[in-house]
Amino acid sequence: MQRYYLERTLQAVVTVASVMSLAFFLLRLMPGNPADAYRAELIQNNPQMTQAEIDYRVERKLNVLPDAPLHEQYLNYVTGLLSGDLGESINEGVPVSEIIAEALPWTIFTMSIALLISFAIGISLGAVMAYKEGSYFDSGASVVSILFNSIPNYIIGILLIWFLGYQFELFPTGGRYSTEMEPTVGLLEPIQTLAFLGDALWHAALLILSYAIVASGGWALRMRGNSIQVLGEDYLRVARLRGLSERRIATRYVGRNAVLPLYTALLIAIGFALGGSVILEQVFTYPGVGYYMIEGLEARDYPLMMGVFLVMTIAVVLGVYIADLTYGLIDPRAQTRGGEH
Amino acid sequence: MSERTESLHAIDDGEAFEAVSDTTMSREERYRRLFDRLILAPGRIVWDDLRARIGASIILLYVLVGLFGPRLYKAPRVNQGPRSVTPLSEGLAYPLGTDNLGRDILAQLIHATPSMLQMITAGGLFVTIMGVTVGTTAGYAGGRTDRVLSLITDIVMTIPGLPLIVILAALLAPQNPIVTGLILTVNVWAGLAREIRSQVLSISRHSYVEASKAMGLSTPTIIVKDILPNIMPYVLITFVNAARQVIFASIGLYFLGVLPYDSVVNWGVMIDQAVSGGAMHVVSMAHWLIAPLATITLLSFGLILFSQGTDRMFNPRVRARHSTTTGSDDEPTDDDAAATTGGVVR
Amino acid sequence: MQPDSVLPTDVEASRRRFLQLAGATGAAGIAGCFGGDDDGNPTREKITGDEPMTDRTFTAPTSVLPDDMQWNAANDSNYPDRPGFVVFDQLVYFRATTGEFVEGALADWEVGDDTATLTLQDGLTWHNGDDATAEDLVRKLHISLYDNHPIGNFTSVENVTAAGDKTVEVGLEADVSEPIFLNSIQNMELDMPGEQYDDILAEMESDSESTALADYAPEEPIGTGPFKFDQTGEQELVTTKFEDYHWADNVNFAEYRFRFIDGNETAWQAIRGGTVDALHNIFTTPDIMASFPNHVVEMQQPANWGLSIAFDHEHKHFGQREVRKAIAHAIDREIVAENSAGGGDAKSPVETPTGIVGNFDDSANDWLDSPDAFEDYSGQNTDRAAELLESAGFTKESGTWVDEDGDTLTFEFKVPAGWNEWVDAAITLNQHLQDFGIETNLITRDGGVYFGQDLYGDTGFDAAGFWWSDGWTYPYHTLNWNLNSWDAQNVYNYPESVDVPPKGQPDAETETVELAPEIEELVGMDPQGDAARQKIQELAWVFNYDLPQLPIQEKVDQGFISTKNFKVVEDSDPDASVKYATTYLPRVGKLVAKAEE
Repeated sequence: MQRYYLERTLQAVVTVASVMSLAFFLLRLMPGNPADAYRAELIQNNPQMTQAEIDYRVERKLNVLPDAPLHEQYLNYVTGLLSGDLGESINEGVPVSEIIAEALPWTIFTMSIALLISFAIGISLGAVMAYKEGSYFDSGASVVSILFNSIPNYIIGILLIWFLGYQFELFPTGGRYSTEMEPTVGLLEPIQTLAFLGDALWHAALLILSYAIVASGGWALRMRGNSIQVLGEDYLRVARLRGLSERRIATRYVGRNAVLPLYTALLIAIGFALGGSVILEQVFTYPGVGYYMIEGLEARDYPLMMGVFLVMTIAVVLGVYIADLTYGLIDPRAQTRGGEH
Repeated sequence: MSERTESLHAIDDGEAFEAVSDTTMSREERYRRLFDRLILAPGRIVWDDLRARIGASIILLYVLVGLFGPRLYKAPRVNQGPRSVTPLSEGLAYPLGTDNLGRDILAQLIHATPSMLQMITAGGLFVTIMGVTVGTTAGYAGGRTDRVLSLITDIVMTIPGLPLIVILAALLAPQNPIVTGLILTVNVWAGLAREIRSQVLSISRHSYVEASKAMGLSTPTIIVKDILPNIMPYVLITFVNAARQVIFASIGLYFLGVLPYDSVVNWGVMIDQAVSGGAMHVVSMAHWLIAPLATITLLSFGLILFSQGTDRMFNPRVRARHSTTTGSDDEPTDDDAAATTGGVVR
Repeated sequence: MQPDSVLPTDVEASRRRFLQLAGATGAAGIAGCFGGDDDGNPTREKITGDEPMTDRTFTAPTSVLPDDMQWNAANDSNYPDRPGFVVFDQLVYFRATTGEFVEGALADWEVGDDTATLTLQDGLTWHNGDDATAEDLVRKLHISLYDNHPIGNFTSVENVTAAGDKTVEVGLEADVSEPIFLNSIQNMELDMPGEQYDDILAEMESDSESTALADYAPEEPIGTGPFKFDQTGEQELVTTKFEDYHWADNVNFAEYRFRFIDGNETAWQAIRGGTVDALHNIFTTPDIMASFPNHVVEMQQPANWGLSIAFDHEHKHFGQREVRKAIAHAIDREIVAENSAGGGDAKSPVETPTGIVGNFDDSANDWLDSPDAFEDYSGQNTDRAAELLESAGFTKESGTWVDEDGDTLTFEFKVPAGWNEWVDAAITLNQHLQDFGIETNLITRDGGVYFGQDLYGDTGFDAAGFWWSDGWTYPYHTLNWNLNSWDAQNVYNYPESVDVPPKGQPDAETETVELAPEIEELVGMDPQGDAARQKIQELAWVFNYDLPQLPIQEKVDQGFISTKNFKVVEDSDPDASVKYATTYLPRVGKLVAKAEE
């Protein structure tokens, strides 16, 4: 058992390391360097700027770029990483860790709420659908679930912004919190904290909603499938024969056994949600890590992109790691993979 | 003589023990049986299930449009009609209206279908082949090979998918739909490989596989006969997933401006152009956005519906009920014991 | 790039009758925009000059996240340039329609033979209360010179000295005319107060390799502009009126806010919803303008700039003049411009490709004695195009053109993916070419890759979208840009001399024209004189005959201002042509708040 934990931990570390190395070289293989991206931005935003002025500014930018050979840069980066230094963003001019520390909590905020909501709604809906299998409710709910699962979440986001944001002005259409609000999170100032959180939620509402609408359908369908399978199992017959109430059967037996396989999926979905924030945050101009990833891409800001990539990779690896290790605790039937014979 | 006495006779004489069953089938019978097993029986199940029926029809519709549409309907051309015409306002000339450059929207949708289908098929096949190959090899071979393959699979599975795709797209700027399809699904095969591997592991411990091994059947035969049918549900689900990812990711990437496009528009490009062209601001241009949106939604819908409906196809008991030549008299258990692996991810 | 010889004053003097036409296009533009208002101009309130001070807030976009903003213009990360325009004063301002320079932080200037004398405004005060003196200007110029600013071409640190409390003398090391001098300092702002920059200057003086300037990132600015920094929030930057501003009487509203807006979509939504009161400069089609509320007015300004097709002259086929001319005939520029503008009037097709700007008001042809002698390549003249190709040895085989060696006439046309107007234009003209039988392949490229590698880097292109003017109106500049500039020779490999027949005689024997000396000659001529006019026509003829690039269209800049709570002058007012109307007009009292009810 010890051996298994050690193995998995080692594997996690190796995974992160290889992904990061892969990303490092992939990024620099991209055509265009930061100076090119900068030149493009200048020309686009200042069409009247003289060629001389443009060349002058691009030169200035170029002086800031590292020009050591690639493997040297790689080693520098790795040594920096090990001491917690993620480098400095080319475009923003501040340490990458600063940018990420500021943006990450927001993405976690929105994505965890979105995940929880879609999971909760999906599970409940799926269970009900399974119990009422074959009924109009089941068919109707299935169709709706599939329908919403068939639209990209950022498209729903755009439509939501259009209707609820601009047409009816019920929600703000961008930003993480209102300009006048002071970010306060402290137990000593409960009222301000609540006000702030409320404001933050109001701003994040459409983003969360876009994700949840699409994802709930997916969870519902899976739950339905699992539940139906469990409902056909023999031990339920036994439970009924024993005289257990339907309610008890539903929650203790069906519910638990149907949800178990989804547990792993949920943990893995965390990683995917972080990755998916890349597009959603652009649509909502919500400066979380996904937003900065794209900003970094457009400017070819390698350190920033690497930093965001690292964060996302760690999130996914952590999710899978925890899922693997704890699944054995939750589901007594499962054999840990380490028990190989 | 009655049968009974005949057989008694056989035992007495010892013939019974030397008799070998007369199992040689004629070639024709064997093929017929194969056909029934692989195509007719599944087909009947599919047809039986309403969801699968509708899903398959939708998919078939798109395939037909992809194959014959461009030949039957005019090609989109700049300025072939007035700008931003609303649907049906000019009779049947522009059934879905025109965009900001005067191109017929229905024409664009139809002519973009072949390349979208190519993208989806390429992605789906890539995922399936990679996933199945890696998964079965790892599960079956075990040992060192398994460890290495599993490590690679895990790494690929944990790379954040969308950011990776974004970077690859920026890197390679693919224009060929097949290449694009491959890039967009580059990380999906890992999940399938993992599932297949665990399936293979659990199946290969079953006695019938050991029996096959004992009988000296070659590895590929074992894989095809015993293992593949059991992993088909996962494969189908993953194929649908991959297709869905190709559609959604391609649109997302056009949105972000990361994928290049040329004058041959595809649905994702249409959506991007519609949004940035202000189709949401002006009701008269809304059709420009809604048309491609409905198109992709319908296709995704069809795909998911189909995979939902075909779950049961892979439950051997349900299959047995629908075939005519298997000759099995097993009592099927409840219909509810469908081999479902649930719905679609995310 | 920059002409380095003497050009007489008033080069940009108004021969443009834009004022006349601006009345027409401006009004027509506005009238057309507002949905139901078909009977001429909507009532636009006149500015009386004695509007009272109000508490109003004017909100405009910025593309930098307020919390990330830093205020050192020499540090390009997160420098908010639009807000910079209201927080800092530029030294001078340029009126694009009339070609004049007007006061900014400088009250007066004189450019002589050896020295340029610059005089600061009286009453110019920093936001921290200090007076702005010549020392501040000297510091700015010194730092810029250390930073390799282009004014280093005709002066150096030792030659820039303060000559009084408000006067600075710049010793000139080369012959420079006033417009050239002013143009080179045009973008300079008075933005380096002692409190923040004295140390940096000292460091740059002692160590020429110092990166102190590029690293400096102050979170709060000290400027001399009409509005001073107040605070930044999650979405908005707040600046408040600076009471000691030297023209403070012109400003009658309390706050100027900048809201973070990312992308055109968000910008349009914002002005529709009233979240912002103005948009600085954004291309907008008539369809979208129709969705704006009636009180939003469009401010159009000539850009003297536009899309052209650049041909790689070292390409096997494009090196042949007949191919370029055939392409010019095969493309209908009017349709391309129309599509590019989304059916609106923000783009005007180039009438006669001569390399002279002025297609919005037809002033381009004023430079030509006999415009009809020039080829206008109008419409989609596929017959003439076919004739030309055949004369160059091409034959049409099963719908596509093939040259003598059997190579198909095919090429890649590149445009930057994010420039929607260009993409629309490119799609259109590619359609025309394909109809004609030329196999073109449109490729949209990532912006950074496009500019950094395709145009200005090693990757190159076959044909690409480029621009055929650098923003000036006097034809010398555009002709130089197209025929003789560094860009012409390096971006599209234009040769140094061409063989063309004499002006007006397309069928005569060709003569060799050396481009550099011709352009050189033009520089020294008096722009009002006849010699210049003739020379310009000769060069225009060369352009028209040889087509180094194919100019497609000219654009106007579009700004939008909401007149619900504010009043603004018509865009025919010369001051409205200063970059940008939204940030300049408040200074001179031409964008004022309405009285509060």
